[in-house]
Amino acid sequence: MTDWTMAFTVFAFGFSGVFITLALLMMAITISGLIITRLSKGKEAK
Amino acid sequence: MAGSFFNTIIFKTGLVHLYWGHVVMWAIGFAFIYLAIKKDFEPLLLVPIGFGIFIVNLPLTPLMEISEGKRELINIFYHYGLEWEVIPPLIFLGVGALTDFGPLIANPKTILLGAAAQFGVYVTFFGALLLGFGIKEAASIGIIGGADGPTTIYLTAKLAPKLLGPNAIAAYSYMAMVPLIQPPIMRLLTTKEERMIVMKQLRPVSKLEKVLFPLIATAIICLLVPDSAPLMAMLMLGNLFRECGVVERLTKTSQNELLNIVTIFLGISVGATMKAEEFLHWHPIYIFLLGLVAFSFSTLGGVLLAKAFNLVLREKINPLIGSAGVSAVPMAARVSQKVGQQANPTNYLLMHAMGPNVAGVIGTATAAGLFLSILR
Repeated sequence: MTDWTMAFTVFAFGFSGVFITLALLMMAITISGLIITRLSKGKEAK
Repeated sequence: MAGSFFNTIIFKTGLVHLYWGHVVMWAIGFAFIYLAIKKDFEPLLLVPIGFGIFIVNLPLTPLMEISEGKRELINIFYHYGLEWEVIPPLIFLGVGALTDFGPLIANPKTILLGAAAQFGVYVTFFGALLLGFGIKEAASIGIIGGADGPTTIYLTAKLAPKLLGPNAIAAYSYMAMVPLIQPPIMRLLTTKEERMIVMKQLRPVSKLEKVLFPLIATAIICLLVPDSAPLMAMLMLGNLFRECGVVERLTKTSQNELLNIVTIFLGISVGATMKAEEFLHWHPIYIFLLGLVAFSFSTLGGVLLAKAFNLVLREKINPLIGSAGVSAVPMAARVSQKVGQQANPTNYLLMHAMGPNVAGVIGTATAAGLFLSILR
């Protein structure tokens, strides 16, 4: 007998968890990219 | 006396223990070998898998049993490679050493397309439940939609080891059929104008960004989803080898010798789980059908999210790259390129599609980690 409550919990937690994790990764990469780009532009300007 | 001795010898041969199920499994093994050799369907996996199916279905062969407490040859590969969860992470080490995350770093929002492609995982999860599979089995079948062989094998070995053979075969077979499965779905979901969208050239990515990426990715993903660590940490270690540029020998070994060795052990171990007595019933057929559902809905998820992005983005993205979130690297990206060029022959989408393509690897490993954290 399928525990549908558990199944929907797995879906909700899993699918949103993937999005949240990858969204945070996306933000971290964007921010680090901006910082590194600014720092290298600053070095080139000097 | 001579007669009974003769009978004893005869009964020690495999021939008298052969039954129709064995012959059917031989045919299945040979079919995979044929597809691998003649049609170039994932030959690195399907040749050893096909051969593993064949030899384990030769009766009385001391290959996969445990007799008198001692493991036989292929059972040793299976136990220490798969049950001990060593082989899939080592394959990910090689995959990381082979992967260029540059296109992803240059356009980070494409990471979300890799997440959207996990939609097929959960559609298939529910489909498997409706077909009568248990919740852990359904999760292991659903992950086929992530189009990642090592992740499928890793998760199945933990949650539903009896389904290892059919799940692995479904995953690798459909990965090889991505150029057949995806294009009709991509054309159905997009207009010709959308397929013709030309994207701006990706910005150059510095070496420092490429070196920091594996460290940042490992920290974020392993802190949030610790159960994904065996796969994610090895993927990013391999990538760090590649990008740091000072461990050329380790990079080459990870990309070549190590990857090839573990692929041999993986293929033969997976094939050897498919004994006739366990394989010949309806479940593998359901798994094959569910695999097709998985890939189709993963493609759909990626394309639809890319279209949704275009409702808010000033610089439009070509929605065809959304389908590359299905992490059959680099085949899904090449399919995006090909379908894009059919609409606009001057359009070059391959590098843009590589972003979601490699993001899909991360997304699938994350999805597997989340399944484990809830269900184990």
